[in-house]
Amino acid sequence: MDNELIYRHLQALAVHFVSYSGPLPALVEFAHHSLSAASPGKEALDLFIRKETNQRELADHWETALWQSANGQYHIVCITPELDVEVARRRLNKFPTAPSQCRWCLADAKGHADRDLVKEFDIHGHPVHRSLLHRNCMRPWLQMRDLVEHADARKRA
Amino acid sequence: MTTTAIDTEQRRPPAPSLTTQDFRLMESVNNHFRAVAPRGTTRERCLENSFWSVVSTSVRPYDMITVIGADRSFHATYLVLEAGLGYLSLVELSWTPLPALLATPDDRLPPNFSIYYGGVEDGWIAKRNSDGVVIVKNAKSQHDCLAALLDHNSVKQAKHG
Repeated sequence: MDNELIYRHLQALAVHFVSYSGPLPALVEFAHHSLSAASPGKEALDLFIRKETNQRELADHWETALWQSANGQYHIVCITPELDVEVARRRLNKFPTAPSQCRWCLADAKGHADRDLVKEFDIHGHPVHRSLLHRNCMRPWLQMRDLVEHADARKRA
Repeated sequence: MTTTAIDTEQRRPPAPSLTTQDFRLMESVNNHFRAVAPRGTTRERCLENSFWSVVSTSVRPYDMITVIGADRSFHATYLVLEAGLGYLSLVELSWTPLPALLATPDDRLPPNFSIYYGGVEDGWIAKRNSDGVVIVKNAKSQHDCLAALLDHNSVKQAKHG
């Protein structure tokens, strides 16, 4: 089984969907279809996606977050940081409709918000009002904040 | 009877010993404070009295202050020499400008290049805009793609030339 090929296809899935949450069999089906002839089979893919080391490898090197949330759904989210300052600024100023949504991937954790989502803290250590994110989505979100702050600092200088 | 120089040297008392007053718990003195400087604070402004006027009564001489910019642009440490109502003298121990975590079009990403995702086969791609030549192909992530681009000879030459 070629691990790197599966990582590639899962990354492509994440980039395509931007943020997807659903049952594991559906995700396996997507990956199986994407891999087509190279697929090691649905059962092997099922095991591959569940494995924590694979999830960590995807997050560390492939800018793809893959995890199971408290309600049993699997999430696959593209965590490639935003490069455009204006797009980042707009995203930082926009709040999701429901307070239980993650601000990066917009997936609604509903009743499990207290377990799935964590508060974002500003540079003073105070929680940012109404800003909740998945742990996996926190890194690109904070990088986006850093991007805008630095762009503003450069503009002033 | 006359005393020789050697005798005087021997009779001189040693430096006084430390008393309990000289010896205190680190936690009660030598405090280390952390300040977040508002956006747009310059290096010179950090050393001005008026910048600290509201908080100057909270610190005592020989305390340390670590200052970080609210816009994440610098990190600095200062040693307090004197402090009181409305005044504060500082010695700057370090002042480090912080780089941005990400490359932005007008920051680290060189002009005339763009980075985009090319699908399963091609991965992340860096392209030169003027003639459409692909410089980096098949990178695992945007971050790796940018690192490879900055390491590429054509970009290095453009920078130095």
